Amino acid sequence: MHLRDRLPPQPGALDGVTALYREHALGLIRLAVVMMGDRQAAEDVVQDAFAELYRRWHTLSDTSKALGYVRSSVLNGSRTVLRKRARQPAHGDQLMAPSSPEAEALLSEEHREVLEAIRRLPDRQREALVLRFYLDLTEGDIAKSMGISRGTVKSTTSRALAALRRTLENQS
Amino acid sequence: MNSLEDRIRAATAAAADTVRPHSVPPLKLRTEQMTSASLDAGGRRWTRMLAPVAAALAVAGVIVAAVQVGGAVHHGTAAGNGGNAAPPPAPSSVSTETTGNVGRDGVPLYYVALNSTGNPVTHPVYAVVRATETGAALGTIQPSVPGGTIRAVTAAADDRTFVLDESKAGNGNLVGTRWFYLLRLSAAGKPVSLTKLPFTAGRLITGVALSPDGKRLAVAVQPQDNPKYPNLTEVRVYTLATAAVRTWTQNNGVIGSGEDDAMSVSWTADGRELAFDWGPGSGPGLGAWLLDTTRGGTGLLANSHQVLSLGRLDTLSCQTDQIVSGDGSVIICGAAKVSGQPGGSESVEVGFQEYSTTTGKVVRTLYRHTISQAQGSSAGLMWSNASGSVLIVAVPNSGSGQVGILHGNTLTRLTVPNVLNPEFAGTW
Repeated sequence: MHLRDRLPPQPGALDGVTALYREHALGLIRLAVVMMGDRQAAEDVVQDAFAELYRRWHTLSDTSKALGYVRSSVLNGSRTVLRKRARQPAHGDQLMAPSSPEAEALLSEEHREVLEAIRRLPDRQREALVLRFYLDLTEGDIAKSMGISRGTVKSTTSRALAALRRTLENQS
Repeated sequence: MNSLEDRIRAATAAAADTVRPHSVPPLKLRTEQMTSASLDAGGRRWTRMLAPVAAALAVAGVIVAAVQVGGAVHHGTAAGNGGNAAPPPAPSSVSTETTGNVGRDGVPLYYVALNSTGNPVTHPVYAVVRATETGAALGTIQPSVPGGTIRAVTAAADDRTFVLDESKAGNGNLVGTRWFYLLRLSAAGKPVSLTKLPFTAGRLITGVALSPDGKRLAVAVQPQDNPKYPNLTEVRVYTLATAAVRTWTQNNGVIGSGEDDAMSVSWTADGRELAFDWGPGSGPGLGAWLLDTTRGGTGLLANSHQVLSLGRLDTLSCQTDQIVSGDGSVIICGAAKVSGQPGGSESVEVGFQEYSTTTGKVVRTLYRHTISQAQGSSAGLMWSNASGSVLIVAVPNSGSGQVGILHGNTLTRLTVPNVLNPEFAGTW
């Protein structure tokens, strides 16, 4: 075992991460469900994100930024799951779809059409739209979450809306 | 009817509401398995993989070697998520081969790929030099500092010279200030020198391209420290030997599709013009522009002219950044068009389109074929010869991709192990 594996986390990490999870786990799982349409995968991605945060807690000079960090981890974890799943044709149609009959019953045909269209967008465009219109984040916060500039957020969102509009118009 | 924005809000909120508040599971911190996997990379640094290089650097200082001017346009690789490439689809109108084109028509013998031990956002990304023909690893370059990560790579035209873009995350920021290393390979493709370049750039880089002669580095950067112009974009061209820099600026617009989009800028073979993928904050101008770096002036668009206008979504059109051929005659991009109904009969037409820089019209479409899934539909373009007749590309296949050398409509498959991003497998 590598020596660093045995190093304990910094004092306060467990309390800090647990408190953050208690306050934001629901919202982050919902975000991951919106991104992936898969409840179990969403829970796994969020759990992994918090585990990573716990491991890196001592590297955060400002723990008030922990939520932004873990949100970015959730986005990237979701992206990884989607890409892995996209390489498996049997799972291709599950993206952005509800993961249970109960959940399916809660979604209207209109919602499903929009979610399917969002699902077809490139990764960054999908993420920008979800962060903007689901989480109502500002351009600045979207930029931090995605690790891109505000200007890029603006252009990415604009391109995503144009593509989405065309897709939905073709359906109608 | 509700606005599109309202429809997005309603649909995503409905999907989110399928997760009930009482159903959140308890936190499970699986720290042991996380640390054993992710800390392993932390102990491997430059010295392990490049010990001879470290010794050489100790006495070399900053060395910028002269390199041959070639006709090809090389392009960069940006870190991303993804996995190994899968076998390609078998389109009826195009063909594939398995061997025989490496080294022909200027196809480089070596390339640099980016790999990571895990999620590239939270785990270090390192560079691997590989042989184009076999995919064999010839050398590995780890980040130079703990917590560092290599974010992009760009290449000169001589097949031996690369620049690595490295940053270190800090203070909760996912991306830190950038610094650059010049990597030189031997004739056998082995790393022989690694030299830190005498300049840094802001942390928000959206494009990077080494000039074909390996002497200048173009960087598209968004300073974000100008309160008067928060959407300022700069193109900086650094002279590697002296750190001298020329800067062109433009407000209200961006270059490229995001952070570390190393495909967003490219040089003509003579090193005079720089192509960039421009996305205006508002108004017209979306598409490819050519900056004349030999002219005076500091205005980006004022010293450039648009050579490709994008915006139509109902035809096969560029879905990725555009690069300019070495002779400056064509702009090349991966193109796609989605048709049909989502979740049902949707299909994706993909290919590589080349547009005349004189007329802006399509002059050639290569490897045009249709696949059934929209996922991973981007056709990735990584290298072009001087005229645009031979490309190194990644073609989509159910979300993954097959990398190969494209001569006309014939794709020669390449073995590219451990690809981080199937659309951008490496820097040639």
